[in-house]
Amino acid sequence: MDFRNIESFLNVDTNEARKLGRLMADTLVSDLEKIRRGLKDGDAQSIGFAAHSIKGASGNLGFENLSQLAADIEMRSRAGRFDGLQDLFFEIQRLLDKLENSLSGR
Amino acid sequence: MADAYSILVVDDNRLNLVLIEKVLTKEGYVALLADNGPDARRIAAQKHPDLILLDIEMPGEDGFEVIKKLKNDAATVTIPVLFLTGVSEVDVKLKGFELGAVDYILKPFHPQEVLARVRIHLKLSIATNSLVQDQARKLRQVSQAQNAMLPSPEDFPDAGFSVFYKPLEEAGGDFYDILNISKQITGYFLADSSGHDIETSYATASVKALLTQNCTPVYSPRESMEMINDVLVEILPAEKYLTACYMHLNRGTRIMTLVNAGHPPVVYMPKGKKPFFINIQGDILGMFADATFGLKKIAVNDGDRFFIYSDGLVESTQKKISWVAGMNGLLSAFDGLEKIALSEIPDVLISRLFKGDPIPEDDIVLLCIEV
Repeated sequence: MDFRNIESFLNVDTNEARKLGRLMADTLVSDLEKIRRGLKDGDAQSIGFAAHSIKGASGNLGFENLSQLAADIEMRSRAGRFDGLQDLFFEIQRLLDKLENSLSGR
Repeated sequence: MADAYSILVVDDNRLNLVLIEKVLTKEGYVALLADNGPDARRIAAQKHPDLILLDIEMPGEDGFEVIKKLKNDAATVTIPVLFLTGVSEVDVKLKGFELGAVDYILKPFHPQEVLARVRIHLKLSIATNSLVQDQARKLRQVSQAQNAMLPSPEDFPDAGFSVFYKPLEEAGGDFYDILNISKQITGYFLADSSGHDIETSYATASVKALLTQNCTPVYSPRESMEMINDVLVEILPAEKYLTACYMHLNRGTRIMTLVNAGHPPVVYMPKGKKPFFINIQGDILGMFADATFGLKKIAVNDGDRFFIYSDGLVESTQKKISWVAGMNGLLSAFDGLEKIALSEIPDVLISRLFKGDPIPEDDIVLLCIEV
């Protein structure tokens, strides 16, 4: 997941894409933390809210893969299903790492 | 340079707020941001934005609650609201529309779609506001025209009357006229038309023309009313009618003839005596082709006074007082009026009856006549 994708998706310059990418990463950290706590406490509602937030925000920046993973979490948690959530959580965590790498030029 | 349109964006996700803010400000809009419902409502009431983009799924007060409260607040009820939702179910969209939203944008959204929808709803809002202002301007014109049709005592110095007139809305349903039938005969007409719309004001204009045509020395007062009724039955819409009172005063013969068409009874105060009601029954005007009207002839003397009024003077919906019940207390308001000049009586009576309350629940006309 590369912040430069935002450039072409929203037709903005690199500087602006970087700022939006930074904000995306920060928001994602916060939402993932909410999901982690939700998983620990068995709080499906909190997981659903956080996943819903990730789904919309990432989709708005053109990160379809991330948006789809978040949609899966939201759908499962709203149905009260916890199976597979941990894997999806790690999958999103990996995408966040990729975003952080692109932002730091690695 | 025209003032920039302001858009309030409400979303609990900081990234969405920033993204929409960027898109809007680039196009010259002023973006106001709120990340929760209570803040959104406060900003909407204070800044009165031209449009609101409202996220539905928010922790705490969700978008549905926010829009419900916005539409219940007079300060924010007219602001168009578009809701942002990641849920594509029909039920969610319908609920948003039922609560007063004008459109929705599905998340994830593309900035160009947001801009396109903002533009189209601002255009619709501008067109709607323009229509509302146009209608208000027309109603004000109707009001001015109606007032111009109402004669003042200065216009009829020999008619011996004073008047209080206060319409509830621009297009009032009450109406009066003074008619110089001959040198010695004056006609006093007061009507209360059903409704307060523009159609009603056209009806009053028609009645004014009919009075001029039919209240002449050739016809008796009852004949005048019957001919006016025949025309009104033809021209008024089915649900429209008037209650009316026509007083025909011949100062030469000193005979007062009163015709009543479903109107509250006239108060008669012979000089130096207690006031009383002249109770006569009659059908309403403009509803039945075979209507019959109540008639009363009274021999009068100099200084006798008559009071014709509309039901707004004695009726109160808020206090659940019908005009029949309201009349019971009316006569006591006339105590000592014989010592007061005719020109001052309307204000004195109104202040006694309304006790300083300036807002009528209905149109009010009070016509005071002295022989």
